[in-house]
Amino acid sequence: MRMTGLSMLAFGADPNLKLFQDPLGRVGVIVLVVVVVGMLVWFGGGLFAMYRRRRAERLPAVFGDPQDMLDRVCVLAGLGVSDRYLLNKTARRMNLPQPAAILLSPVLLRRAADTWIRAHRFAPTQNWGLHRLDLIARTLFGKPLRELES
Amino acid sequence: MTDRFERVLQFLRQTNLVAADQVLGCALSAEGGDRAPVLAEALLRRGTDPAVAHVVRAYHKVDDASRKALVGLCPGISGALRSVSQDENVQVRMNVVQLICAARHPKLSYILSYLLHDPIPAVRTAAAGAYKALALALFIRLCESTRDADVPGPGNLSGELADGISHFFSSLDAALESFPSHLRTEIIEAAMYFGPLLPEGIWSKFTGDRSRIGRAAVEIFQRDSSAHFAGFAFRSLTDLELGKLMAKIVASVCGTEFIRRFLTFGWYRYDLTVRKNLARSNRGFRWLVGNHPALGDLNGEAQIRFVDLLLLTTIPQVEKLSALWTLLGLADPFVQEHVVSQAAGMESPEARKFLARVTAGEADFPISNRASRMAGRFLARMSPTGASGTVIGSPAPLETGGSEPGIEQYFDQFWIAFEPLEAETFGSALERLRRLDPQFDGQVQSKLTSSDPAARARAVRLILKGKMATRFTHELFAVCDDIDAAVRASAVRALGELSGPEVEHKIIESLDDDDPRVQANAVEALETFNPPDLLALLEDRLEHPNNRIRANAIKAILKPQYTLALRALSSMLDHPDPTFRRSALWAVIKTTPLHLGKKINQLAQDDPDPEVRSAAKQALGAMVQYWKETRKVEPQPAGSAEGGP
Repeated sequence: MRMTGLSMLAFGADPNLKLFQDPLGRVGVIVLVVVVVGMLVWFGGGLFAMYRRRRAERLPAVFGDPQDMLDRVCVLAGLGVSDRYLLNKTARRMNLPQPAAILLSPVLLRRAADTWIRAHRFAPTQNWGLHRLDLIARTLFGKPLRELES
Repeated sequence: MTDRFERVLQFLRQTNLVAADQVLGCALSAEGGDRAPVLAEALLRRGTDPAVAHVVRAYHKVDDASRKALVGLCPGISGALRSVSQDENVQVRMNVVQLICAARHPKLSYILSYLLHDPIPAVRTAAAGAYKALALALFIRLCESTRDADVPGPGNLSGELADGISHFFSSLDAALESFPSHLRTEIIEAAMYFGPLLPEGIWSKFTGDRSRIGRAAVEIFQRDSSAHFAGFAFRSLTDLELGKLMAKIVASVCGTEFIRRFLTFGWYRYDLTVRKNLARSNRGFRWLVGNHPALGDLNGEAQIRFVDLLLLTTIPQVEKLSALWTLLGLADPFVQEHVVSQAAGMESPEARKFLARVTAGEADFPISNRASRMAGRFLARMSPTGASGTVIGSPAPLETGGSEPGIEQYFDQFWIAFEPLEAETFGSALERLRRLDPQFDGQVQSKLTSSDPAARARAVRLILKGKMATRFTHELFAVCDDIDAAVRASAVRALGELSGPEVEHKIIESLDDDDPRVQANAVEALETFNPPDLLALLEDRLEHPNNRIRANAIKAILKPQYTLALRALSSMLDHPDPTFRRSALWAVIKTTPLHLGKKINQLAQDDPDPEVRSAAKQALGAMVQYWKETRKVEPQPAGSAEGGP
């Protein structure tokens, strides 16, 4: 009869604990890895969905088509595709529902510049963005960006 | 601003894109400087609800011109204000309160009544303050518009003011339903300004058993006995419990202005409870008796009311007669005659002396010949012991001659004051007058043939209220063809109390009248006749563009054509115009069709119009009452109902 650790304990002997561990085969390892990865993915996905939902709740309600409105206003103001891209990016960071609103308010334009600087602190695109915003300020408000009231 | 900016702004002003409102709104909310007026102006020019809502959100930082423009748009922007009043930002809700306070429009009061329950105490307090200010402004307008009226009241109001007051009362009903206790002064004061005109539903909140609102009103009145509350004080005398408390305070607060306003609402003096409660308020009138010159400030109508009230109080007779003597010197001949007739009813040696002085011409002021002659006749009729069988406060017995001058004045008094009287008081006053005045019918007939259309309409209303249509059949037939639509409408309504083929024919003729009021009354009158071709006569009117006619037609056919009427009523309850829904609910209250219970319940909860919701609740109450009453009758033995052959 083969002595197991449990029966050895019953007889008062010190069991060898390694006897309790069955060696894991290759299939077992693969299954284990898949399960762990699956759980991590499932958990991460849940966290991401929660983050997205909370972010969406914080976003203001949007009326109409902001992209279409921005396109029309940019055409009227004589602004190009890169300006639209810049305004879209900044408006999203500023939680602004309508990017075109930046073109109506010097305060918002100044705030957009600050947001851009914060987002591209050590990036070479920082100067490019500030230059574009300065051009927009001159085109619409007749003043350079630094002279706009913040 | 550059040309390009101008071009963009111009585009945003004119475009139909919904996003434009939000673009301008976002820019305005960020701006605080000199650009804000330009953006506000662009939004106001767009004029849509979301655009106006953005300007309201920025009300605290826009310039005066934009604020004035917003105030000028009230109450047309009530939709925008309603949506903004639910904003998360406290400042925005405060803006709504400030804007309504500046506009002072009663149609916006319902928004304030919602804000009274705001989670932030500062907003609640501001809303209550604005509500009181709005009520006071409305009250001042009411006082100005009824200053020259004989009997101020809802009947004398212009259409716009009556409409405003009706809106305010709807919101008041909701506000008094539940309110934070620290705001009770503002809300209850707002209601007290309109005391004499409050609808029964609101008034019952003051007079209910152990009503906390009633108790608070007494406290407020004790603390601040402003003349604005005089009307409330007078009406409170109609309630036994509230009147008892108020009468004591009235006695201690009477000032000249207060008594002038108090007497303005003196039509309630015919009410028995008022008479009882007035008997408690002796001290206040004693103050006035000691201030005789104040009586001269009152107009003739108020002086007559004062005489009536004075005699109801428990002031010693000597003081009463002293005040009456002062009035003889101040008043016009009409009031002098009233004073003499009331003094004759006092049955005391002092009263005899009073009449003797009037007859002997001892006064150093002129007394009219008619008053002097009346005093002589009364003196002759009074026995030396003073027992003449008259009752204090009631008209003294007069000689029943057709040309008796004293009797005419009673008819005139009754003519002025009969409309606001309650049915019981009206009935007893009418009975007494008809007993005293054999020429009563003749006087009513002369009013019916008067050249003044208002007098003709009033005469028909008197006939209606007194249920005297059978005595004036010919006259009513004649005024059915009157040139004035209001007279025709009242006359057709009165025909509903008569019977006979001629009357029926006349009513059917009136169905084709040009005026919708006449048509509506004709439909209502026709219902009482229930002719066999009723459905054929009214079928077209079930879809009539006038709400009253349609509601009356539905009500008329509901019994004989239940299913058809129910279908028409149901579609009227879904009508987009709230006045139609209110009329349909009126028909529901009158007929209580239980099959519409679910729909009415839905209206009571979800309808956007507060008046419709209130009417729907009332209709639900009526239906529940009807259901309870009929349920008691229903359980019968199975054999008894169908026991026939």
